[in-house]
Parts: sequence; C-alpha cells; structure tokens
Amino acid sequence: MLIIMNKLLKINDMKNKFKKIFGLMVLILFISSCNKWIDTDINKDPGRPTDVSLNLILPTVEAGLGYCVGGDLKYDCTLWMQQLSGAANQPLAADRYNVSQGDVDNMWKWGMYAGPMKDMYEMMKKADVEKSPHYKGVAEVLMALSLGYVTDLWGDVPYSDAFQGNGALAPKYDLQQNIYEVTLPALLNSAISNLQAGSSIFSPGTDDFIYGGDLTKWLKAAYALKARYAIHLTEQKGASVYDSALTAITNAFTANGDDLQFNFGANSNENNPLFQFSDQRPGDMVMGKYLVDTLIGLSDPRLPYYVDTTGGATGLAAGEGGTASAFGPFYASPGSPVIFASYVEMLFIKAEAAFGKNDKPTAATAYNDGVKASLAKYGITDAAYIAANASETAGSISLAKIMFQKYLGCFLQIEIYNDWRRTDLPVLTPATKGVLGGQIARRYPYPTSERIYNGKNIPKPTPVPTDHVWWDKN
Amino acid sequence: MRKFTLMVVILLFIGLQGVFAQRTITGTVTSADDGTAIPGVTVVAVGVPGIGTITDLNGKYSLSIPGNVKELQFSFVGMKTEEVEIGAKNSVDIKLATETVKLGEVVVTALGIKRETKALGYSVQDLGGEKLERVENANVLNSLNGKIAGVQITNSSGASGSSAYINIRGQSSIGGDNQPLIVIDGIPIDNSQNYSGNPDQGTNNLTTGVAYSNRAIDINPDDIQDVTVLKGGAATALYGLRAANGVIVITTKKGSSMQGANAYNVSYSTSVSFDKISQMPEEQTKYAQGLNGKWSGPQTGNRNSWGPLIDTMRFTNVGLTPAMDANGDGIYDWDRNGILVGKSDPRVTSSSKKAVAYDNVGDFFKTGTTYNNAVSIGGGTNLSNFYLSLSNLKQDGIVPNNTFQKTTVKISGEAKLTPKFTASGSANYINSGGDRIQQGSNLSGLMLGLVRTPATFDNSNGYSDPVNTPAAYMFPDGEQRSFRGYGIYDNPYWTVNQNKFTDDVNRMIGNFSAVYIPVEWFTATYRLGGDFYSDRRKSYFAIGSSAFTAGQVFEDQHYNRDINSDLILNAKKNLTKDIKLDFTLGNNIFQTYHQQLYVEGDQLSQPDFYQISNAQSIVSRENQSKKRTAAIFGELGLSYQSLVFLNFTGRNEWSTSLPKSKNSFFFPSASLGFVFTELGGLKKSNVLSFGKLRASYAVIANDAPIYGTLNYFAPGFYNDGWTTGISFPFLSTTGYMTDDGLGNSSLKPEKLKSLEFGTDLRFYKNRIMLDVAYYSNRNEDLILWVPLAGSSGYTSTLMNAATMTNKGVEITLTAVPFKKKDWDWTITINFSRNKNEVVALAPGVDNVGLGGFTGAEIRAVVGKPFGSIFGTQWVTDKNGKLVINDDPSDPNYGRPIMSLEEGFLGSVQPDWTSGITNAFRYKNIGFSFLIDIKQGGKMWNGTKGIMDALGTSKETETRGEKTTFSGVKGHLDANGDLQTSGVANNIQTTLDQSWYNGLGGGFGGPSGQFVEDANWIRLREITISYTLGDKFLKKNVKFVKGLDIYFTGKNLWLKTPYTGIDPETNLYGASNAQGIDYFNMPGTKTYTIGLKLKL
Repeated sequence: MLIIMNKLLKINDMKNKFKKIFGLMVLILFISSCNKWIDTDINKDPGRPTDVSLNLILPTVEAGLGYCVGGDLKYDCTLWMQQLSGAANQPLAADRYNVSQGDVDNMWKWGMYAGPMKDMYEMMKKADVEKSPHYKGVAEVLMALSLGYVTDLWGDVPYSDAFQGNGALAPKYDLQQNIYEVTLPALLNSAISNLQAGSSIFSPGTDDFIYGGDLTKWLKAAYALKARYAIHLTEQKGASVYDSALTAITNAFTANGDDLQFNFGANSNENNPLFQFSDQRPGDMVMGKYLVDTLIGLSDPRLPYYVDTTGGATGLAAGEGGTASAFGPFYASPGSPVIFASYVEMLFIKAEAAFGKNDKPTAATAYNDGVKASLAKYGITDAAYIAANASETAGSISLAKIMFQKYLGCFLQIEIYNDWRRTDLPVLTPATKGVLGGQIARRYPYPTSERIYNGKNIPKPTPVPTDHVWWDKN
Repeated sequence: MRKFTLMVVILLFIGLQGVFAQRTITGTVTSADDGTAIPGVTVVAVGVPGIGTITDLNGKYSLSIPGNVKELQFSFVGMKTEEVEIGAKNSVDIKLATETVKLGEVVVTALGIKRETKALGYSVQDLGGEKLERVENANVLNSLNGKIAGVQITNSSGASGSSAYINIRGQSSIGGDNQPLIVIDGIPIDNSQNYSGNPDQGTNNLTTGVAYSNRAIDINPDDIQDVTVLKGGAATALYGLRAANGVIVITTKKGSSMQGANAYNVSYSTSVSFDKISQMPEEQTKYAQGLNGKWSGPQTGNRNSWGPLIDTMRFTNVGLTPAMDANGDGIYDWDRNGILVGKSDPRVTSSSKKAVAYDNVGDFFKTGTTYNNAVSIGGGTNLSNFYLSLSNLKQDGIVPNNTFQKTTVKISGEAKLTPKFTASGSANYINSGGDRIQQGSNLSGLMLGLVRTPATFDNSNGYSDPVNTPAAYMFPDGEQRSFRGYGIYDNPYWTVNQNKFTDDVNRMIGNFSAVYIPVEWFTATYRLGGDFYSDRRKSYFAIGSSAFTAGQVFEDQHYNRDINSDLILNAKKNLTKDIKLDFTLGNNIFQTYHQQLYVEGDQLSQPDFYQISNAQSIVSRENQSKKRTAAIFGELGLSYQSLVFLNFTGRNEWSTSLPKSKNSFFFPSASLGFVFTELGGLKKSNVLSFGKLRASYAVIANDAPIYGTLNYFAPGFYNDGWTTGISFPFLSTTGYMTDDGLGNSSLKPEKLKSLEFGTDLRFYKNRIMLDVAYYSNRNEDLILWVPLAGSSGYTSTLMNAATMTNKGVEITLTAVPFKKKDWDWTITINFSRNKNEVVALAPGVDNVGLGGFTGAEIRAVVGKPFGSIFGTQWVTDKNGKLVINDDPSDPNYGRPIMSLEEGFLGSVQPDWTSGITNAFRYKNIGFSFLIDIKQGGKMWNGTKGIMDALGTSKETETRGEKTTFSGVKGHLDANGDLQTSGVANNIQTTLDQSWYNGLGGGFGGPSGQFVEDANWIRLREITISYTLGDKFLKKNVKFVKGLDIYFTGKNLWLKTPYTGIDPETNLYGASNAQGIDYFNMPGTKTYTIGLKLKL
C-alpha cells in the first residue's frame, strides 16, 4: 500500500506539501479501516465478566432465592392461607383469588427460572468441570428446593430441558409425577453423595451465607427436603411415604440452628422483602384475620413476633380489603430471615408420618416437640401455652392438631399451602368475594411469558386455578 | 471494495496532470443585486473539458486557457449561470443575478455537500435559521415542530430542561433508537437521553425520577444558520448506518469575508419569556377526604377523597386527640383551621369556619421565566474569517425550584492558507443543567402528590410562600406534613425542597477541516470532529421522603466521547457540453464511547447532609460502551442539461458491534430527478414555472446493539416488581449472576429499504410551490430482544427477527397569495401522513414491550403500528360490545367486566399531522402564526385513572349517579369463559366509591378505559415583529445595522379532547415508549418578548 501511495505522490507535484499531507491522510485512513480498527474484541464488554468463579455465584443464588421465596413467590399463597390479607390494590385482588398470568410472570422468570435456578444450573455444570463436588452438592440441594417450589405451585414444569439457552429456547415440560419420582430423588441423592465427597478443589466458605460452608448442615438440609417431598405424596402414595419421610428425618435437622434459612441484612440493598414491602407499599397487605384471631384466641406468645401489635393486633378478613395490623418484627424487619425448611417442619412431618402409621405416642411427642421448637425459635418459654397446646398424648393427638400447629409453626412458608392442599387443614373459609365460585385457588396460573413463548409445550388443556396439581389428588 | 477504491484514487490523481496554458484571463465576479464580490464562483472554459477555476474570496479569478476557447461560463449555486464571449479580452468582469429559484433552493445534503434542490432525486426540506430565531425554545428541536412535513416532535413535558423526541417518517427500529442523526457542520453529535437511577433497574428508571434532557438541548439556536432535514433512504444513504432514521443537518453561522466598514458584524439578541401552565386535569371541589362518605383525615393516612360534602363540614379544634395534636397547642397539626366535623356536630363552636376546598393546584404552579441572551461577532478579511458567539439561557420553571440554564461559547474560523488550501475549525463549549423535580410513578413525584391531594387538605398549610416556609410541609420535629399523615405521598412543597436532582453538563464539540482544491474540478476535504461531554448528576432524598424513607443520595456521572473522521474526494467534470459528472469518494471513521459511574448511598445518618459518606449502605455500578465503525463510500452523479439528474451511492461499512463474519456490509442507493419543464413545449409555460418528478430507491443497513454477541455475568441484583429489591455487594460480599439476556453470535445487519416518489411543482414564478412525496419503506431483519420463556434460563435473546413498514405521504405547499411593495402574505402548509405497521417480530412472538407499566405498556404488536398501548381491557362479546355483569350476586352487578387477558388498546401514532403557517408583512411589521394539527393517536391517561380511584377527579363529583352501561348482559363462568345471551343491558348501577375504587378506577380497573384520544389543534406559535427601517437607522444611529423587536407566543391556544395535561407529553421522554402520561409534569404556554440588534 505504501508503495502505491508513493507512486501516487510522485505522479503529482512533489513540491506541494499539502498534496503530501492529503496523500498521507488517505493512507492513514485507509489503513485504519482495516482490521485493526474494527477489532471484534471491542465488542466485549469490559464492564461485565463472561465467566466468574463459583464463590461469586453462590452468594447471589442464595440471596436471590431468599428474596423471591420470601417475597413475590409466597405472597399469593400466604394470602390464600389467610396468614396475610390483601388490604388494597393488587394484593386485594389476589386475596380474592384473582391472580392473572401476568401477576405471576416476574416470580417465574426473574424470581426463579432465569434467576437463581439458572445460576444453580450453571454452578452444577461448573462444579463438574472444576471437580468441586461440594459446590455441586450445595447447588443440587438448592435446585431441589427451588424445583420443589415451582412444581408445587404450578404442577408440571420444565426441568430436564430447562436453562439451556440456545439448546432449548422452548423447553418441554416435565410431569410433576416424574419430577417427584425421578428428578427430586436423583438431585438429592446426588447432593448427599457430593456433599460427602472426600475431595473437592473448591468448597463453599464465607460465600455461603446460609451455612458458612458447613457441609454437614447442607447434608441435613438434603435429608430434610427428602422428608418434605416424601410427605407431599400422601394423597398419591398413601402410607408408603411415611417410612421414607421418617427415615429421611433421622438425618435431617436436629435443632433450630440447623434451619435452612436466609438472613437478610441491615443495609437497604440487603433488606428482607417483606420488610421492603411494608416500607414501600404500606397498607397494601396486612395480617390475616384467621391467623390473628387464632393467635389471640390461644394467647399465643408468638403473636408479637408475627404481628405488629402497635395499636393492638387486628387481622383483615380474606378478600374484604381495608386496614389491619402490619407484619410483625421477626419476619418483617430489615434483617429478618426467610425460612426455606426448618427443624420445626421436620418435627411436624415426623408427627404426621407417625400418626399416619398409627404410632400415636411418637406423633404426640413429635407434635409437642414441634410446638416447643417453634416457640424456642423466638426464644419464648411459655409454660402455660405449652401446658395447653403442647402437651398432647397418644390419646389426644389428632391430624388436625398436627396440621394446625404446623400452620402456626411454619408461618409464612409456602409449605403450609402444600399441607392445606393435601390435608385441607386447617379448615379455612374461602373469601366471600372470591372469584372462584367459593373455592380457594389450588395452584398458580402459568405465567404469560410461558404461554406466549413456550405455548407449544405448556400443558394442555392449560389448568385453571381450581385444578389440582398431581400430588393434590383430592 | 478496497482495491476498487484505490483504483479510483489513482485515477483521480492521474487526472491532475492534464493542465496546460496558453493565455490568462482575469476578472471579478460580483452580485448584480448588491455589488458584493462572490467568492467560489465556478469559471470554466466552454467546450474544453478540464479547464476552469473558482473565484477567490474577493470574487477574483485567474484562468489560463488554450487559444481555442471562445466562451467562459460562470456558475454559482443560487445564481443564474452566465456564458460570456471573451473575444480577445484578457479581463472579464461579470455580475451574476440571483436565480428565480432563490436561496434556500440550494440545500445542504449528506456530508455537507451543497446541491441545488432541482438536482435532487429525493425529498429534502430546509429551514432557515431565522425561522427558529424568535421561538426561543431551550431545546431547539421544539422549534422545528410543525414546520417540516414528515417530522414529528414530542416535547416530553413543560418541566425545565425536559427532552424532546423527534422522529422522521415513522419508526424504523424496534429496539434501537428511532431518532434522526444530528449533524452540525459535518460532525455528528450525540443526542442521547441519559437517565439516572440504579442501572440494575434499566429503563424502569424512566417511570420515576426526573425529566431528563436529550443532548440536542445543548445547541445554541442563535448559532444556527440553516437546518436541512434529510428524510428518506436515498438522502441519507451516504451517512451510513447511523442515518437510518433520517438526518438533521445543521449549518452554523460563519463570519463573512467582507472588507472595510463591513468587516465585522455584531449581533445581540435578548429575550424574556413567561411560562404559564397550559392545561391540568380537572379536580373535584365538592367532597372531603375520607371513605364511604365519612371524613377520614390526614392523621389516619387515608388517601381517598370519598368523604362527605365539603359544604356540610365545619372546622373545629375542639376534642382533638393526642394523635391530632402532637405538640399539645390545641390546634390540629395538619390544618390550622382544625379538624373537619359535620355542621351539626357538638364540637362545632360559634367561631367554627365553614370547610373549604383548597386550590392546591392553582396555588402551586407559578409563572416561569426564561432569560435568553446571545451575542455574536463575525468578521474577516479576504483570506480568513471568524465567528465568535456567547449565549446564556436561564430558566425558572412553572414548578418552584425547577431550573435550567445553558451557557454556550463558540468560536469558528476559516483561513485560506494558499489559493488552493483552506483550513477551518470550530470549538463549541457548552455548560448546561439545572435543578430537576421528581415526577412520574414515584411516591416523591410532584404531580402524584399534588393531584392526589384531597380538596380539604391544604398543602401550603395556609402560608403565603409555602415554597420557602418549611412549616408548610414539615412538622417541627422534621417529620413530613402530608395529606397521608407523615408522608407515604410527598407533599409537593416537600418534593421541591427536600428532593433535589441537579445535573451539570460540560460539553465540547469541536472540529477541524481542511479543503484542498488543486484544480477547479477536484476538491478534497478532510474533517475531524469530536463531541465530548461529562454529565455529572447528584440527587438526594431527605430522610422522610416517601420514595426513600431512610433518605438517599446518589452521584451519577456520565462521560461521552464521539470521534468522527471524514475524508471526501470530489471530482466534477463536464463530459460533454450537456452531460456533467459529479463523483465523490470518501472514507468515514467513527468511534463512540460512553461511561457511567453510579454511586448510590442509602439510609442517611445525619439529616440534611448529602454525601455518600453519610450513607449506611452504598451501591455502585460502572458501565462502559464502545463501538467503532469504518466506511468507504462513493457517489456518482450524472446530469443531462438541466433535465435529468441521476445519482448513485454506495457505502460499505464495518462495525464492531456485529460478529466478525457479518461485520462488513454494503448498501446502495439510486435516485433520479427529471425536470420535465425543461422539455421544449413546457419550457415557456407561464403557469408552471418549474416541474420535477423524482424517484429513488435505497437500502441502508444498521448494525447491532453494542455488546450483544456474548453472554455475560452481571452484579447480583433482584427486584420483583413490588419493591426496590436487593443488590450486590451484599453483606460485604460480591456476587454475580448470569445476565437474563442471551447474546447472539450470529447477528447480521438490519436492512432498511426505502422507495420514494415525488414531485416538485412551482407555479406562477414560484408564487405557488408544491412538493409531494410518497414513500414506502420496508425494514427487515430488525434486531430486537426477543422475549423467551423464562424456563430457557433467559428472558430474552437478541435476534434479527422483525419486519416493519412505513408508508406515507408528505405535502408541502407554499403560496404567496399577496405580494406588493409594502404588503405580503405567505402561507406554508405541511401535511404528513405515515402508516407504520409491525409486520413480524419473531417466530411465535406477537408483541414486545417498549416501556411502561404492567397493565398499560407501550409495545410493538404484530399487525399494528409501532407504539401500541397494550394492557387490560373490558370483556367484549364477539361483536365487540361491552359485556355487562348480569350476576346479581356479584358486587359489580350491572357493570362491565374486566378481562384478565391483555390486549391492544390503541396506537400512539397519529393518522396525520399538519402545520399551517401564515406570515404577513406590512412594511416593517411582521405577523405570523403557526397552527399545528395532530389527528389521531392515543395516550394512556394513567393520571386520570388514579384520580378517579381516589375521588379527586372532576368526574367523581357526580358520584352516586345512576347509569345503565350500554352493552349486552353476560358474565364469566367458573372457568373464566364468557356466557352471554346477547340481550341488551338494562341493569342500572351506581357510579359510586365502590365503582371508582374498583373497576372504574386506575387501582384495579382495566387501563383501557383511560386510553384517550390525543388529537389537538393548537396555536403553536404566534409572532409579531417590528423591524426598524434602514432609512431611520442610517439617518439616526449609523452604527446600528438592524433592530428587530418581537413578541412570540407559544401554545397560547390548545383544543384537545384529552382530559389530562397537554397531550404533547411523555413520561419516558425521548424514547421509543411514547404515549404514557402518568403524573407527568404539565405543559406550558409561553409569552416571549425579545429584541435583536445588529451592529
């Protein structure tokens, strides 16, 4: 190129320096437009990494799951379970079971699938590549937890085909039965073996907000989920599930300190979602009448932990709208925890399973322990309450009591909605202004984005809110 | 392509040698009109190709000619071409007369190339700077409104410093910017609307925050000489990918090169404008704050205005509870007149005053003022000239404490270093910014707090100057005084005092250019330009502000750097006497770089101390984006006499934003102009003075968004639509998550095909001029973020998926019905109609969101125009009739039913727009007015929906009235299926609180009922001016060359069916999501008086 330009310049009047300058400009500019200027690397964002290490993904997964499960994902079902009540705006509509496909879109796509679940999937893949089974085990426990939430709320959901990006832009749906019979056990079994692996190049540590890298606790959590998913199948599998649940429980949580929960922080970018809701949408959602009246009626010492009792504790009847007490400090303070699975839950599962096997002494003991453990969670010792409500015997224990105290002990957890659908306990009166002909919704509608962009795979006929999920046989 | 280019360069340089001489002719070319010398006149030897020169700055030329040359031809754009026999003379002076096709007939086309309009095969519209001078808009784009066919401008609001959205011939891109490229003196400038707020929240930040500027606001209108709008593909093809949406070519003023007493020109202009609020949604004044007809005052936190009739209420300070009188002074804390009770309540005393409806809106807005001062000096010698300008605009808005200011300095100069070489350069420094006020869907937003305020709550607390009296909006302990107790919605006076947003832009736009003309037929131009700015923003919310109760402060710094380089080689040759060739070859290199550094501190410790260090929680984000492009382009123009003009362009472009295998792309254009009045029979027509038919076809390509080809991790961030969410670093730990957007490594360029036909007809020696253009554009392979099923692990992916068409007609008619020595009257009518259709988006995708709210979003919907309002609506039967609930057990018995399915609610695109200007002159007095008509196009009046729900709108004054909705009876069964008998509805229902609080309002009702027609007819501009006569000046004040005094009114009259604020508004500002009104700042009407002085 240079030679050509030289020739060019010679042809013309060499004495004219401007001509030279122009010639040079032409040269420089034409060279510039060659590959060096248009360098594809320029199109790689210097502000965002294309890969990060496992210990930078885990914190986001845990916090993201805590935020979604502790917020958007659980609001509708805890309204329906009348622990909370919709006072105004969208929550009031939800309290009347009027939940649209658009209302559940964010929680599905940003809250779960393209959110923490996608990153759990990335962690599982990356942990394999980096020969780090400990990370994989943790990711698998969290994936089993998350997959459980989505299948319990929606029924058939994508998993085996999910998270693949271009590999499957429209993932097929797995039957809930298959998820329960194959996927969840496989995930948890694999987690149990990975968490016990002798060597792991990388292992979680302080990046693990939940257990600080304590793998024995993750192992307990894996068993706790095994117990949970076993007991979910009471209606489908009958008595056979009780032994599975009881076996799993022996390896699950042994104290409140083992609970699988996420603790939020004091800074405003770290705040518990329910706190944020009460702060940023005051008056839209308040305490539910059924729960508050029950706690008052029982003189339940957990009342001031569940309910903001400033100005007296009142609850709002389902679907009526209005005003009532705000959420209590234990669950709606900036740094409040979001509980995914707990020792209390295990004790009540144990009680339910033993009761199902007609082992009433064990059931009664587990029940009493469950109530006591729940109180202990808040540091409460209340002899009178325990005498009245946690002193069951083989003769007095009943399934209704077990499920009722589980309903109180697992406050604000999606699990109470699962229990209610299985056992119809506690007995709740549907909102009179409900839109489902006097019924409480038994599932979330499939979200808009799946209907539009994955229409060919979404189950058909597409279930309506009153349709039961697979394990909710009756 | 590169080889070809080189070949041409070689050929061009070879051509330079063919110069030989035998005899020299010299002379001077002057204007027949005023005798001034005309530089730049082309002088050629007739019949001998390759012999010619141009006149210098003094109009002098010197040309060596072979002995056989008999005639010289003198031509200059805008002047009549003259051919002169030289005989034996060695000196030929000549006067050139202005051509009947006057100035303005020469337009600046792509890359600054000047062309006669008659030679163009595409439509170009030109606007002289004088048309902008008296309008005095802070944002110069607003001054173009209504003046150019096919150009739609939407001023986002009346807030000081707010943005204006501009669009030419409809939208061409789904996800990208749809605004034209703005080029000043050959240098493209940045016209971004950079918004603030946590970058994790993306465009959601636009629903809240403040009204931002688009960066065209930095242009000083007084510097503008001329604006040319290049609309279609053939007109803009040479600019390449950045010109896909048209180009606004701005030429700035230059110093003139005159000698003697006229060696310099000083011009000074000053004006003051007064802004008034133009239109507000009407509020009810009959009912008090409360619910179910009972008073429920501020201390309860109740937000509703469903209380008792104000007429029946009395003030009292008897029987206050501690909650009502915290300081124990016996006076109700929220109203010094007391609480409200019924008139027969025992607490009513003899001194009790009647309850009143306060005029919160009327009291709040003030008269805004704008001071505009500009001074410029231009001058020069025959070898060089310069232009220096200084301007300042200072605006106080109609909203207290809302300000905008702009100071510009510009210097430009040109020097003829040798007879063949001219260098020029300019530097323009701008400082702009102001104090902006919170708006939109924002608990601290101004209008949100203001129009939700019940009639019985006095935001000002009775103070005459509440803006400057903290006791109006603040209790002694620092807590906020608002109609909902201590906040929840901010008191507007709190908003304007306690929530500040300040931006400070420092910008430098500069260019250098060199023009080398070795021989008369060849010109080489090199131009290097840069546009650099920093935009530093600081925002804070005091502790107790509703949007951030714990207080917030953020610093948001944007830095932008655009560099553009053009090399243009142009050769003009007369191939024969009749056929002329005009060949251009060029190279363009462009780089853009933008960096944003955002640091947010939340939870402030020390009140009224707004430093990041005062925050307990800090979030910071850094973003960068960089792109480079390079191009080689060429243009070949052929003309046959003045009859046929044929033009071809080609441009090959490389862009870094595309994958390597797809990053080189070529696009061509062709245009034809046929001046049929040059044909024998028509040539002498007295009626049709000029007639041209034109046709063009062009393909333009557009590249991909920056950084769209890879997958990334982003700092952890979650937000669920209910709350602000969580972000990393979290608990002192950093964390990342996979981006929701799936990159695409096989993107290819977008393709924009445009076809245009037009005609340019002039009658009766240009007394009537008609220009008609028809265009049909088809844009294919448009890149957009295609939504995905979340279960794929991503929520969207970039794809070349969409197709969109724009078809339209533009008509410009100028007529001079009356023209006498002292009198004239000119009418200019612009009419344009554009029909946009989103033909396809992506397989399986029938709509994508552009911005807005859940339930009322602006989307691109297949089969509909770009910018569809999409959301919840009423259930209708198969005949489109409203279905009225016939289930007596339903609380909404007798009322329409809300559908859970979202649907198309209307298009924001107008059917047509028209601007009609009438200009009259009587001696030295000028009078003109511009009527602007917009027909069709919808707007979502979200503000009204909320006012209805809360009971503050005028409509709710008729609360309790019975009505029978027109429709058919029916209901939804348990499965959600429609059951209707088709029988006409006869069930009466009451439009009461339960209706407006529920289905009939914006909290819970379908958004479709608040989609309104946004048609308008407005008096956009009216100007009366008086120019002091030359004679008077020459006699009395010799040093004054001109004096012009004027009055201008803007928007003085507006007729619209829209029930909210001025429907020329948009919450999202200058972005693709047009048509959203949700507590936007109201528009203004403006009165300006000004003076322009020339020395």
